[in-house]
Amino acid sequence: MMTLKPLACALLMTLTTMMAHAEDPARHLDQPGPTPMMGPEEDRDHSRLPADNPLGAPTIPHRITGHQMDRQFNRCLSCHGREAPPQLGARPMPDSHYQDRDGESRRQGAANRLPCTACHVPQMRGSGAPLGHPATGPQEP
Amino acid sequence: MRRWLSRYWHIFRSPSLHFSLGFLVLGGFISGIIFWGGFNTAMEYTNTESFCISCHEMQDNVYAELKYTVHYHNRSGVRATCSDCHVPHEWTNKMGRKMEASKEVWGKIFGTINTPEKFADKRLEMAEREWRRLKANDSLECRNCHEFEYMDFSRQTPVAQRMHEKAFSGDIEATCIDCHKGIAHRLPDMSGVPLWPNGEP
Repeated sequence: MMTLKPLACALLMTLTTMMAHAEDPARHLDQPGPTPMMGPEEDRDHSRLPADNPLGAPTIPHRITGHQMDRQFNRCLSCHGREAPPQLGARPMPDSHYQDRDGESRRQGAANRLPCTACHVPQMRGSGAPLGHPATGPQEP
Repeated sequence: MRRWLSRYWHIFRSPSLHFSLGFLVLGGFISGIIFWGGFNTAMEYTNTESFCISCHEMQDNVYAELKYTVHYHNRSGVRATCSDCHVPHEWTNKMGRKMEASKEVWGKIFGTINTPEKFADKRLEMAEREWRRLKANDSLECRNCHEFEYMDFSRQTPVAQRMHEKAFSGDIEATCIDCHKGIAHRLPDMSGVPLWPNGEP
């Protein structure tokens, strides 16, 4: 009986730990969620509108993986900037995005607009991502 | 000096007294293999990625950036190493590039880019040198793997289709690097550097 005591103790501790984990609602906050089997696929539907909000930032209908966006160089602007050739057919960045907080126009865009992805996010298909327009809902692949 | 030279010239010209013809021929052949093989092995060694990133300048800057690009990490697991893009595969061009690269040894010894700040300051200059080189040899290193003939244009974006068709058919004078700058490393401030070939997409 004496030899079984530590074993029973360990079992009890494991059980209590498991139960504590099962009950703690914040237990996932410090660990990554399950990795999806496949990366999400881009959605090239150019007609999609900003979700939920008519003034919201349009979503990006193409992949931007690995695009550089820093103080030195912003790849978005090589197609969406003023100096980009219009034949590319990319929607140009509006004038408001060239004005800094003092209302002055900056040739390379306002510094506070630099991180495009702070407002604009790529459209993705599948996995029920809540990106669709309220009228049409998330798009099926 | 003159007498010294003429003495050696005399020895060089006169037939061998002690070594047989067979020894000289076979010995020359074997040492030829050893020296040429050794030379090529050394050349190949300086083409390996582990050699390139044995300098922290390469490991901490350009190699660290490459790791996030499609040329390092992708769906099919085919990847490019430093020399695939930066050293021509053809022998004469390769030797030329290797001789140019001796300047990089100088840079390493004197610490031309041994801090991130120095590297950032020189990035445009170094990048422009590579762009010039690729422009001059019609993006030869890209074409070691990528060829217009085998591209499925229907799987490219509309813009890419249009550009590639024009470049393929010769409508525009353009080579890969004209549009695909910053494909494997980060770009410096690009103001003043054309991002598209002569504004003609």
